[in-house]
Amino acid sequence: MGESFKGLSRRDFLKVCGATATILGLSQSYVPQIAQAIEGAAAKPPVLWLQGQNCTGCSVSALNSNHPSIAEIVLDILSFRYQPNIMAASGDQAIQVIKDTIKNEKGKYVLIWEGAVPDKEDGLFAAFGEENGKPMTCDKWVTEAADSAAVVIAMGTCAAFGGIPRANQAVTGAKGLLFDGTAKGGAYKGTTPVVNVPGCPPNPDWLIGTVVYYLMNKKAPDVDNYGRPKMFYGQTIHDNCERRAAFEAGLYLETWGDPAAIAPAEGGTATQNYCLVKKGCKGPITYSDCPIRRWNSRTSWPIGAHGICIGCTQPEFYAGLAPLYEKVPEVNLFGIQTTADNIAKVLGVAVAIGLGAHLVGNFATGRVGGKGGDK
Amino acid sequence: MAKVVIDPVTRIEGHLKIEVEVENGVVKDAWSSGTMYRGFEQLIQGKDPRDAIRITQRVCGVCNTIHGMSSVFAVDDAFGVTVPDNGRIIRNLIFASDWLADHPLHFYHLAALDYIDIMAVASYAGNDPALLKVKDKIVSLVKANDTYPLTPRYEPDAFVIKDPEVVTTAVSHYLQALEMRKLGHEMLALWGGRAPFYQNVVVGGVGIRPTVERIAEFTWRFEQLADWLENTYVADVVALGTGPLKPIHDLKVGLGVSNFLGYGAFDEKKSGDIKNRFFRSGTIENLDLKNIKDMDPSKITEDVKYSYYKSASGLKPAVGKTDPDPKKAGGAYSFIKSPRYDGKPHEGGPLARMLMQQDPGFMELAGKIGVWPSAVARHAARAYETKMLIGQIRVWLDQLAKNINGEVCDDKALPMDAREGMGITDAPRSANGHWVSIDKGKVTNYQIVNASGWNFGPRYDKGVRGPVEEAIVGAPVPDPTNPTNVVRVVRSFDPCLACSVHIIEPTTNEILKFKVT
Ligand code: SF4
Repeated sequence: MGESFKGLSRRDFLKVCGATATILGLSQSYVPQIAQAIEGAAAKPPVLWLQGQNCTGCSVSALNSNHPSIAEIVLDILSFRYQPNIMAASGDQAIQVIKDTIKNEKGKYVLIWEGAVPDKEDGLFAAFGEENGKPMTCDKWVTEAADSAAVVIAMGTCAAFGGIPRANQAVTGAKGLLFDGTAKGGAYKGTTPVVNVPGCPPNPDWLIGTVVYYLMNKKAPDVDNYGRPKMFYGQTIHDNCERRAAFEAGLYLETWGDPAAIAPAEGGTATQNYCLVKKGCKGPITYSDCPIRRWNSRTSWPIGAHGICIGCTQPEFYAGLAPLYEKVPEVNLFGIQTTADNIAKVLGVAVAIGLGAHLVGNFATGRVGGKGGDK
Repeated sequence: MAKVVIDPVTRIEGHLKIEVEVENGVVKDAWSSGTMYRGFEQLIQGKDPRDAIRITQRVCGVCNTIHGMSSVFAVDDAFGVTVPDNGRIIRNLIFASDWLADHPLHFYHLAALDYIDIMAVASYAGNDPALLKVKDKIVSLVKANDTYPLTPRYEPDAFVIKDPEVVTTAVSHYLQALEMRKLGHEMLALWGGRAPFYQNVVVGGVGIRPTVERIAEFTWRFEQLADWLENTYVADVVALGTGPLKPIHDLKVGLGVSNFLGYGAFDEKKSGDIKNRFFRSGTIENLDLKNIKDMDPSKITEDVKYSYYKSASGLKPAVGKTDPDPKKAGGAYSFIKSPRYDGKPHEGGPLARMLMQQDPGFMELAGKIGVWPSAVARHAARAYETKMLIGQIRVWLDQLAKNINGEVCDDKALPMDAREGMGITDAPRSANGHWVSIDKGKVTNYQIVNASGWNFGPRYDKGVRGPVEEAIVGAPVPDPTNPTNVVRVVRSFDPCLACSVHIIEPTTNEILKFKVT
């Protein structure tokens, strides 16, 4: 390693590594290890970023990455061979890049897949590129591109579980890569490891953190039963929500914008911001670190801006969580009506540590509604 | 006659294929088709209408603010709410923040690579430290033999800017723009919770209340972004449009259909009232700029002769039917319908808005570039309206500050009787509309006539090409393996294709069969 690394000064490079450590929740003492992982590679790791039934929201969210910034990610850390929203090439030139990468970088590239994969009607509901005048469909692309990848990141809830397009599965056959909603059995049948980074959209940190974790450790991070890295999806929104005290105290907002249910710092007259559970908040059944990590350079997050959590990181999203603006059935207003089984099912065996601790505690002390429903 | 297929067209939103016929180095005919399909109107059937505001945002991750706004206007209309002033203004701020992030993204990150020879950076001979840094970066990529995603690319043609100083400056602004557009999304998040996909715009208004602190947090970001937009983005577009890019404009690359339509954007009085918007609504026919007419939503229809639908052609969206027939004979070639206004194709977007607005500053700029529609003119209009919007955001902030304790939402319960609603507004890239019917608290019909459909729709029933198809015709393509002018024109419309291909039969479960050829 000389004075500069891939166009970055040493100082800038270490800054990038330090920022990356922060995303991963690691102390700054890991900076050398991260630096080594990124520098260690002879060339920048190649990335193919392909899109199926997507809306590009995941890509737009990734543009909002701060530390490292998207320019650093695209130009300094990774080699973005194909990313349809930013790449210069179009048409056959662009398609050729995918084919070359699959062939020449076999087992070495990271595949980031955005969007659901439909399999009805020979996959014709999502296609890009042509071969001999015929559309090349995404169900074929995903198999070809994933089989030769080192690791696959299913970016966003559509790619992970089917997401919103899955609500129209009867017509298009939309599925996630490994999952069809909560069930195993997605569009990708191969053996390359797939890490789910759901969210509609995912926080840019979840993507970058997962990629860097992989580069550092040459293996996918520890995941829950839905394939989500526990470091980002290990706890419910409700566990860390700033309105949790209001929930426990039985203070619920009933009318949007009602000053009597909003704290003075937020323009209201109440003692605190009231809990949004009666407005349909899905925080109690949604796993992600939004309340801590927040969004857009940590300026805010949905509940912080007086909107509900819609459960967008969940395999059930959207159809399984509708109606969004009605109280979730799992919650009674005396606590969370759930079982230790459910928690374990979601989190996997080693779970209950972070996530469930509070819930399990409540459950044990009888504060959480048991079988009897509302008490 | 050479047939050129560009699939996929990249640096856009969505999956788009463009096919052109080239004769003697000029495009003679063109076809535009989308190659991806999900079915939003169907999946929202039978759901709670309030969900539509969240879910239809996801029609497009780029245009999500607009779909959310169109949807909430439609559902507001059906619920019969009266949005309080502060709710209306906060919605405007959310919406405007996205425009300020979206326009520079379009210019630098989606379009600019068609106009500059990025490798000219290596020949930069000046000593500006910032530009030298850009040079070092590009040179180091070249040395490492890894210039993705900046290459491969079409070979630079005669119109591409090769001056190392200009190109290096443009690339440095490209990199700056990546940082600056984030401020727009931070501004949006301050009022909306996150970007993309805000969460707190609800029927009747918004959930968030204004505070002095929030206005301040918004303002410092906004002023920083506004300064950069005016002095860098707008300045670049004007300098390039009146200088190095003027020859492309003079060749009339990307003329289009000469009819324009706008629903208007940013409510100034009653929420959803298209007669009182900061960007006015209206239509222009045959480039008759002296005669701007009121826009009458009842004149909007959709043709389907060349689209894969067997339902009747020419239906109004409120009673729209979407009965797909992917194997339809007779020349159908797109899943996008053809929206028409008063029976004719119309272009929507920044150029339409600025031609209707006729702000003296814009007319002066247009005079310098040449007063006719083109790819370059669309970029100029986009930049100019950014400037106008910046000025108006300051007005809204002031109004909000003066009424800080005002209400933000008219929160009404879900009605159980049969209702209908229409929500139409301009989007950064065109005119966007949602129509909803509800009964017993559920969506019974939902139709979206989306922004990019106006521009990217296929031929109309009479065989008249859609606006983008028409705009491509006549573009010089001296080398069919480098159809740069075609993608220049396509990208000048800022296509957002996920939203254009999402239409589906709402009542049957018929499985669609179609082939994108
Ligand atoms: S229900 Fe929602 S708003 Fe209430 S405490 Fe839980 S996560 Fe927060």
